[in-house]
Amino acid sequence: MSNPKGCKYTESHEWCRTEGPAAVVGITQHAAEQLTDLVYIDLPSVGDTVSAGQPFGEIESVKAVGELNSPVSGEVVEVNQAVLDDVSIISSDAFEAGWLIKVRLSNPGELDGLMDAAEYDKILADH
Amino acid sequence: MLQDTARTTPLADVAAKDGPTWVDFAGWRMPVQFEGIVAEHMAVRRRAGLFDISHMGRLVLRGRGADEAVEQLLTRRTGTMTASAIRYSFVVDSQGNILDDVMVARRRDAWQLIVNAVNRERVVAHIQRLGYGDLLQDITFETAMMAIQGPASAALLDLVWPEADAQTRRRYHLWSVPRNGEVMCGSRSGYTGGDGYEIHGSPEAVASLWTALREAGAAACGLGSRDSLRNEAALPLYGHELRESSSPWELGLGYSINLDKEFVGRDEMRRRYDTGISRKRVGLVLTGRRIARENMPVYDGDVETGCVTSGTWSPLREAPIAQAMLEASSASAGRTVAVDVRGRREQATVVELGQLLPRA
Repeated sequence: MSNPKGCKYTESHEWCRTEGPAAVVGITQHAAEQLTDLVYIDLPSVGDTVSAGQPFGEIESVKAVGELNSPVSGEVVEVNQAVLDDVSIISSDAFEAGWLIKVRLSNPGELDGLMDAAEYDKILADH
Repeated sequence: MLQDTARTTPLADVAAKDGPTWVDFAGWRMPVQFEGIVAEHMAVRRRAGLFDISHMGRLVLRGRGADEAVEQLLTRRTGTMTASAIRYSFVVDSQGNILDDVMVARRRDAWQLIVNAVNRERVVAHIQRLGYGDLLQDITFETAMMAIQGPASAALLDLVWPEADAQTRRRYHLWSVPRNGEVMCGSRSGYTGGDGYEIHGSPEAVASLWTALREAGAAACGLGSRDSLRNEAALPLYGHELRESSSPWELGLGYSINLDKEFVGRDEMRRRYDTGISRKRVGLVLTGRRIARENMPVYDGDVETGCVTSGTWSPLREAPIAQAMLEASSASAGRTVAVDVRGRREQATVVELGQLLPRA
């Protein structure tokens, strides 16, 4: 498992990647593997506002429920319907097909406060 | 709960070969999952899975007075049990608190109790307090215990342990048979609602059997799937469905109490029986995908009618299921209720306990 270089990471195992004025947000492969057996995900709707460090949804596995914390602040401009229909996509492809929401950044400077792949790798290694 | 001093079971080394994640449970370090809860669950439903259940307490009572002691200790009549018979029963203290639910087996020269890991120490203390300590031997730490569960269990056991003659065994009878010269005890029983066997013996003999059954194709399973399987089979778990103050009749377990015989705690058990049934243990099948978990309140219309005692995902139904204690007026099969899952109501249908596990 490798964490893509082009992403930024949170300590609660979310990733984000900029796409023009927006950021794509998801959970890491590590988080998906820790949860295992995903059964449900709750995501905000297009037009909702999310805030950095604040919960924007929940993800549930047979074992446990986890909160999804947004790495960035802004307005939700797209939600991954495929993941709402079949949450197991996250387990098989957390960094691509398993993305969760796209957020129009209200404060792009927040990205600087997130970890890069090397820093996140280190957190996982120390875990 | 989590402690650094958790004991490892004699099967930890063979289990570790399959790289499980571990959890501390009742003072033991146990595999919680190997391939994944759903995969292990389905392995047991379709073929066969192995469980390390060495954490379960194994108590033996033998000697002069053991027959009377066991009759006093258990709520089920034991005097009429034939040699090798196994029964499900409760242990109740003199104040009427249910201390544990146990499997009792009558061996030729002794009685054997399989008790819950969480309750082993207090059941032992209870037995000593009643003055039966001299009859008691706790063999938990010097033995190992495993289960093989699922429709292929008999065939796989016969393959690696022909002397066990697994295919012909009746359910709930104990046998002692050698494998490679070492005697192990087995019974056709389990905690999954399907066919299967539970086996205990020396650490080496049981570990060798585990390895042989893994090589024969049985899946390694952890406490996670053990819990989802027992929930799907609507089996109660002490500390969740069953508690000190429970009414066995409300739980649908009244058959394991015999008020016509003497046992410790009988007066209180009779009082609970006379109180009648105001709540009932039922199964719930949820409409959505969010899992109803322990202690979540259940509503019938706007009225709170009970709560979830255990909940999980049913891989067979591909839906969340739960056991719940509901007011009797809401507990009839087919009734629509709602579970409050973190502030949002999720619709559920009441099903009879025996209907939670879909028939093939």
